[in-house]
Amino acid sequence: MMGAGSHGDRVRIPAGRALIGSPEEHLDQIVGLQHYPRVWFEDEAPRHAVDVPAFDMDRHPVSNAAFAAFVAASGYVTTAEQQGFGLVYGASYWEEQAGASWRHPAGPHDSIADRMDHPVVQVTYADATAYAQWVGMRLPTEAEWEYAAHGPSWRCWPWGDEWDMGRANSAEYWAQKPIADFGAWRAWWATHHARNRGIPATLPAGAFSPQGDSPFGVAEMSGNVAEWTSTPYHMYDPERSYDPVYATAVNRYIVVRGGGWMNFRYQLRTSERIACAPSYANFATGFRCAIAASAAGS
Amino acid sequence: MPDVEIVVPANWRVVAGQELGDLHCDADTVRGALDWLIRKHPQFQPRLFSGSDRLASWINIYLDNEDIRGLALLDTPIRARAALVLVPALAGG
Repeated sequence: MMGAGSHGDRVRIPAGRALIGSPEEHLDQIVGLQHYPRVWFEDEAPRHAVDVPAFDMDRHPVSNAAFAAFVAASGYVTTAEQQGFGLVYGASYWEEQAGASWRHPAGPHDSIADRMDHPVVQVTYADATAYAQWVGMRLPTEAEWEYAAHGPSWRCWPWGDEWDMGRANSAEYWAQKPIADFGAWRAWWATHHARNRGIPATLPAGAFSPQGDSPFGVAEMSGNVAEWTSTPYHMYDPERSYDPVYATAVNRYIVVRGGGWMNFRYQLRTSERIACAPSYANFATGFRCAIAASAAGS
Repeated sequence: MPDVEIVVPANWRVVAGQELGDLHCDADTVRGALDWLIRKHPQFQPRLFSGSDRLASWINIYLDNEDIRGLALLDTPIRARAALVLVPALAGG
């Protein structure tokens, strides 16, 4: 085991009561600002208070270099390597790209060799959990993740309530123009994909720090890579009516948070929830680790 | 043949470019129900299949709350009125 103390740069998040989930008025508002219906976001409601004990969280997502050290020491083989493919978004939708893995996120033509300080991608929940255990940590819970992203009370993005494409690695950063709906995103993607052949547009840790940091100083909580949490997908209020597709994912899927480099502003909100099958890996999803303050020491 | 209700993700309305309403068909296998769906909405084909007719790894399908990967996949029989729920492996965002 590497030991918790030797794993990167961490931020101490104080114990606190956090309001988790989106305000109703925010959900009403975004329905008119983008292309998806309210039901798509309903799982962010109701907002509710959660008491979160003090914990440490990685300041940045786990890097390729850190994951490489884990693999070298443990001999771990990721899910994508075992199955022989990873998911890459092609010209118009996801594709099972043969040979894509954390070492070659877009496939054999791609390599992380010059991106060792970028976040690792093409990792499943099991892969992320295995790494976290190896460093003596764990994945953050969903509530820890959201608390670390916006502080005790809600804000839309880690830095505040005004979108700013200069504060996060997103589709809008690469487009250098606003993208707020599917049509605009598709237009950007067509150009981006043709130019980059599926190579993920991740950026090194700290590329948007401190301007994109959360109130606690945690970096890249919006954009760069979406991140696994440890929390099984669930509904905040079991008595409330939710989309049956989401209801089917309950206790089968794991919550992923944060959005990644290929997402636009509304997909990068601090309270945005993604339900993800545990065996899923793609070229825009990674993770970071956490540990209870009581276990981490001062 | 049994009546099958097909439930698709809310964002597929955007892909379809229209309100989808209730999706019902008569089918006696999962494959039959999905064939009907794709005939009606061809733009859903790449969201379900990798290549011509292999269920893609980015979609999970539940027949009356049971994952068809634990049954007989596309050949899973439908013997009575049923609900088929299509859940992307990454849903939301």
